[in-house]
Order: sequence, then structure tokens, then C-alpha cells
Amino acid sequence: MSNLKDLTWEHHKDAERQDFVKVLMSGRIHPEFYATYLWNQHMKYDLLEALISVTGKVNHIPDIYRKQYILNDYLELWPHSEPPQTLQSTYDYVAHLKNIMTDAQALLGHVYVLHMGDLSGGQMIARKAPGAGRMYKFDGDINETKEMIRAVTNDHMADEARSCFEFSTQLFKDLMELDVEHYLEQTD
Amino acid sequence: MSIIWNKLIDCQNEIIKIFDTNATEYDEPGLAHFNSDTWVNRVWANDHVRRAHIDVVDARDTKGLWMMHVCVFPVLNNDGPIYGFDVISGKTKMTGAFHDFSASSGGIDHPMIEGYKEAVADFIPTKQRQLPEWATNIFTDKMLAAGNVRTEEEAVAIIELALDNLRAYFDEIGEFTGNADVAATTSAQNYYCHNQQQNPHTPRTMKSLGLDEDDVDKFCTDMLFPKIA
Repeated sequence: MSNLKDLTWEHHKDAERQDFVKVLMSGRIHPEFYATYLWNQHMKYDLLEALISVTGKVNHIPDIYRKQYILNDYLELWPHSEPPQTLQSTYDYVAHLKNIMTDAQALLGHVYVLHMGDLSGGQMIARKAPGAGRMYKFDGDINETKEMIRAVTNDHMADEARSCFEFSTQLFKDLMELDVEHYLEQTD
Repeated sequence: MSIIWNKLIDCQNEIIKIFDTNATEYDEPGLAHFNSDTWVNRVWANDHVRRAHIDVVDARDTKGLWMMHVCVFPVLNNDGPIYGFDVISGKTKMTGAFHDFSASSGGIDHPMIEGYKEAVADFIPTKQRQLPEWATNIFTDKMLAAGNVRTEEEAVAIIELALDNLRAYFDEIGEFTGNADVAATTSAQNYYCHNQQQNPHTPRTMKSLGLDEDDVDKFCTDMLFPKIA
């Protein structure tokens, strides 16, 4: 039985405490600000999923790959021809994946954080975020999909999982430092 | 009449000749859509190279610009580097020329990269220009990046260098087939493609040449640097 949840608890909570999460969960996040988040998430998932697919470790999990859904959600909400800003934490994440690109165990630590997150907290975000929120909808049973991820993860992935939480925390901080006109949708 | 354009079209023809001599042209699904009178996309492969791609946009008449992109990926059990050569040129100057042997699963110390670094040593200024992060993730520290090349002499030197290196690439790449882990090479080539897809100048430039915006977006994702599923 994996203790990854316990082993990453502090890092998980630290990510959840960020102001961006409060904005996200307010139910009033501005669609363009949320699309900026999706753009950066897509860049992370796009590479992670390309790398983990080569290992064959999660290919049996139904509908596990999220990058196209994230891209579609982003395209639904972003009205401009030029994409939003790619944030430093996203660049840092891509550079980090270079170091672990052939380490299936390490990559699974990231799947545990990101994809398990979509299956867990993501289900609450789906009710608060603008747009179709397709990235949080899975074809299979949510609990069964989570179990399948648990089955391929173990405690040895804790360091990478913590690292993934740290990148997410930094992404949330970077987002809140953006010079955007509105974080929240205007009600009046 | 433009001397630089003529030299570049000669270069395009020579690259096609090198590809024809060393590999076999094939029909890649979806690529036909990106061929017209002014947009050329062709691909070749052999036992050691899985994809040798040339992409030329000829907008001389409409925008006064000509662009070429050349990229060669080794097969997945070959740890050799990825060959790249990109040029964009106006009538009287090459506005940009970029050339590199970028690391795949063989890493940055691969013998072919060492050979490339020796070949380009005289072209690389001591003080290299600052590159964006997506570029530093994949290009060697000896990537050739030239801008505003106005003289015929310098343009010819860059073209000849890229052609010599392409011939050397095909001469040597076969030596490394069979000594690489397929998964590691797939990951390394996907990493290269992912970072190339972050280059914001590629779609901007292609759109500025008058190509359809939706076509360019699809082309940059699916055809220019396609990841291996």
C-alpha cells in the first residue's frame, strides 16, 4: 500500500494554500486568467505525457492523457491570436523533465500529483472553473482510475512527487504576480 | 534578381539531391495538404534516418521573403544527434540562419556533435547571443545563429557549412544505429520537438509570409516537429 499521500502531505497543503487556488475556487476566476493557467498546464502535460507514454506505464489506464482536453479548454476561453505568457515555473518544469525523461519511476511521481489531482481536487475545480472543464472529465469511473494510478505508484516516488507539488506552487505564485487587469470576473 | 535567393534555391536543390542520394522519399499522411506552388514539404527516410524533412516557403513575389527549414531525425535505435538548418532571407540579406546538431539520447558528448563543433568553430563568435530557454534546453552551445547576413561571401559560407555538415551527417549516422535504447531516444526526440514547438517565432514568421493561420498552427504542431506517440 502506497503512503504517497502522507509522504507528500505538507507539499500538497502548501500548494493548496496559495492565493491562486483561492481565486480559482471562488467560482469567479476571470476566464482569460484561467486560460493563462490552462496554457501553462498544457505545456507541462504535453511534455510529461509524451515522456510517460514511451514508458508504457500508464497506457492501460482509460482516458488518462489530458493534454488535448486542456488545450481544448484553453482554446474555448482564450480570445486572442497570440498565446498567453509562458511562466518561468513552466520553463523550469520543462527543464526539470529533461533530467528525468528516461526515469519511469520519477515520471510516475508527476502523474501521481497532476493526474491524481485532476481526479480528486480537480472534480471540485470543475464546478468552479469557467468553460466546459473537459480536462476534469474522465471516460472511466473516477475511483477506478484513481486506483489504477495508485497501483503503479509507490513510496519511492515521493521525492519527485514533492518536487512536482513545488513546481505547481511556484506556478500559482507566478500567476498571481502577472500584471493582469482582472483576476476575477467583474459582477457589475 | 537576387544573388542570395539564387544561392538559397541552389542550396534547396542540393539538399534534395543529398536526401535523394541517401534516402527514399515517402508520402507522409497529411503532408500533401501543406504543399502548393509556394509551399514545399517533402520527407525522406532510410535505415538510419526516420525522417528527413525539407520545408520551403517561397514568398518572394508577395512578401519579399524566402524561408527554408531542414530537420533530420535518426531512427529510434540510433543515439545520433538531430540535424537542423533554418534560413529566412529577404532579397538582399539573410535575416536569420540557424544550424545545429542537437543532442538526442547520445547526449551532448556524442562523437557526431564533437565533429559538428569542430566544423563550425570558425563561424561561432566568442560571445554567443542570449538564447531563450526553449532553445537552451535543446541546442548545443555551438549552435550557429547568424542574423542580417548581407554579403554573398558570408551567405555562401553558411550554406556550404550546412551542406557539408548534412553530407557528413548521412556519411556517419549509420555507425550509431543499433546502439541506443528506443525508449530513451523516443523521449529525447520528443523533448526536442516539445521545445521546438515553444518557439514563438516559427508560427509568427510563417503567418507573416501569408500562409493561412489555421494551416500554420496545425503544421507547427503536427508536421514541423511531430512528437512520437
